[in-house]
Amino acid sequence: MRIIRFCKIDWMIIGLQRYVFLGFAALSLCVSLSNGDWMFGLLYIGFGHMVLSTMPFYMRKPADNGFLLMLPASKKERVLGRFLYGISMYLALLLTAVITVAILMAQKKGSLKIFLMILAAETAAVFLVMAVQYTFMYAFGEMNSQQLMGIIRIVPGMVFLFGGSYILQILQEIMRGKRESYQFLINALSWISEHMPLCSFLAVVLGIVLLLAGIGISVKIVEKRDFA
Amino acid sequence: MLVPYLWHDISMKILITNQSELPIYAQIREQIKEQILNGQLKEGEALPSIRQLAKEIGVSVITTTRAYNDLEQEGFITAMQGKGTIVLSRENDLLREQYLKRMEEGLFTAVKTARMIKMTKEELLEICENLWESEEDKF
Amino acid sequence: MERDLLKVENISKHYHGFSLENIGFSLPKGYIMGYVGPNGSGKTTTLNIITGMCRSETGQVLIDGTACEKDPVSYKKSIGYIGDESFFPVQMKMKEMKTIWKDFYPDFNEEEFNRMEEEWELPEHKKIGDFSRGMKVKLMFASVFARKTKLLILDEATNGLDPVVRMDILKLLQEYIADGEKSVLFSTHILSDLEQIADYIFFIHNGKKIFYDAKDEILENYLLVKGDLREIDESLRRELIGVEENSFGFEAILPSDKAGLLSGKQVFEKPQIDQIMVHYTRDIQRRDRR
Repeated sequence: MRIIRFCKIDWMIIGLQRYVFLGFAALSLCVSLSNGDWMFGLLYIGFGHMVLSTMPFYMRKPADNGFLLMLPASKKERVLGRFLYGISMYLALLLTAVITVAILMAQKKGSLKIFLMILAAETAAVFLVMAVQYTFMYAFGEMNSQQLMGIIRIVPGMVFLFGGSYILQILQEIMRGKRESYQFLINALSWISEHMPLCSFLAVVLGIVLLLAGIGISVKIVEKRDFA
Repeated sequence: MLVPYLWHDISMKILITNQSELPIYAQIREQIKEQILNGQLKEGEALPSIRQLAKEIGVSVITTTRAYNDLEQEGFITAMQGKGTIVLSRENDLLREQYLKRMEEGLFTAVKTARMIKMTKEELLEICENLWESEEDKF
Repeated sequence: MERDLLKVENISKHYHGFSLENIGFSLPKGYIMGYVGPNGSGKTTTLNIITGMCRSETGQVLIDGTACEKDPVSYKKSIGYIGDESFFPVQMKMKEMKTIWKDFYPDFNEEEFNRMEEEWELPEHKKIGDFSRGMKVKLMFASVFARKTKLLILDEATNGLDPVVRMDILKLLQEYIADGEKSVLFSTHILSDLEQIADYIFFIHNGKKIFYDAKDEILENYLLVKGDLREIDESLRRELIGVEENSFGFEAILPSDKAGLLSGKQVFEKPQIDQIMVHYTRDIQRRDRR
């Protein structure tokens, strides 16, 4: 229960910035609908999450806000609450994706199967990035280096966005039969699409395992630290 | 620093000053003692609790505890279960001693003054008797 | 029934260029303790360890027999902490804070809080970052007094407040301990007003304990002595603590049991706690320099 309450505090603490993620949701929706394809839209959702999910870390200086530190709870609950905030933001963004797909499906565009597959891959990526970012923030958040904080915040999102676009482009070209030379990729993709449920499942499990590892490490770090 | 304090239910008055050479607990003790001796605080009257008094005059609990302990040892007050701290009867031996001491002090002044103006013992005793008679209905 | 509400046993903390060494004391139920010392002497570090925000390298802290590591939830619930003004997230409004308090403290009394909010004229819809220092301190007090706590910890909380508010706070603290079950621990480097209501004084300097006793005992254990340095002999000179000289004479602290060394040429009087502190600090500084 206290974990959920800490999650709630994080949503409160970021103030009006909590509405920024709606912007990403809208952007995703627009991109998807105008392309008639949700693939790139989905990328914006992941990008948005990677950039925004570390926001509460910026809203407090470590030695400040005795208020949060004095709330009756264990350090573990505080860390879990923060991770829950990250997950809840991702779920909120996913809602946009679901709406997008529903609209496109109604227009008989796109395939649900591929959507789920990419969604699984994205979830794995988002969880991985979140685990790394949060652990990093807990480990080095006390260094008041704005550059470092900025890098942790922006770089994973950028890599995801541009890397993702590139991969999607190649995928599209393969699907249109323009790229015969990528035989290995084609083979891999066809194997994946044949074992789609398994692969998606594995991707999500991998993401969750990484996230759990991040949580475990973060809790360990915080328990050893003052003002955390 | 002066903290005047008048206890509303009873007629107790405490004035604390930092200018005094007496420590605060002793100031409290002496003032309560004075008020018991001159009859402002009557037998059986309840004093404020240690914590109440500390709060009202803005001193520490240990300070008022010490003042009350001293007064209790000297036989002026006693802590009674359920009733709080009350002023003891003047029949009390310890207190009687205090009264005798006071009386002696007063009489000493009277005797000293009488000798100074060369008054006889009989004349002094007569004044004493007259005073005793005329004040009788007041007590 | 535990008589001591707070037990601090042998705590230490080392930072670069500062160390808090083997601090220990206990505070019985129903009393007020002043934790005093110059700036940078380790007051806040000690309080941060007691509140559980920092971990001690040695020893332990118990509140009503419970250690923070054992049961952080009930430990922290029993503390009412009033720190300096950077306590609250600046971007929050009081309305939001209230929902958090209600979430975390089942015994949070909103009516009581609203009453204080009104009495102290705290703005409901203003960001806390825009509050004045006085308002922030009042908000901290209101949040603490609106729920049930056992130990009130004030870290330099009354500094920079106007005398009227300070007076109100003194009354609040005395009311708080009035039932004899709860205690107050406050830190400060300026004594004056808080000194009056403190039952115990712990004096810390450079992370080490200088003295710790009932205030009335401390006051009785020392005399403030003034005189001419040329007129005192070596045996008295040795016992004087923190001699302050000026062109007309000296002022120092003398343990009361050494009063026999005084001659008619010196005058003495009962000291205030801050005078004892000043001369002691001076004494330590001189010894450190040597």
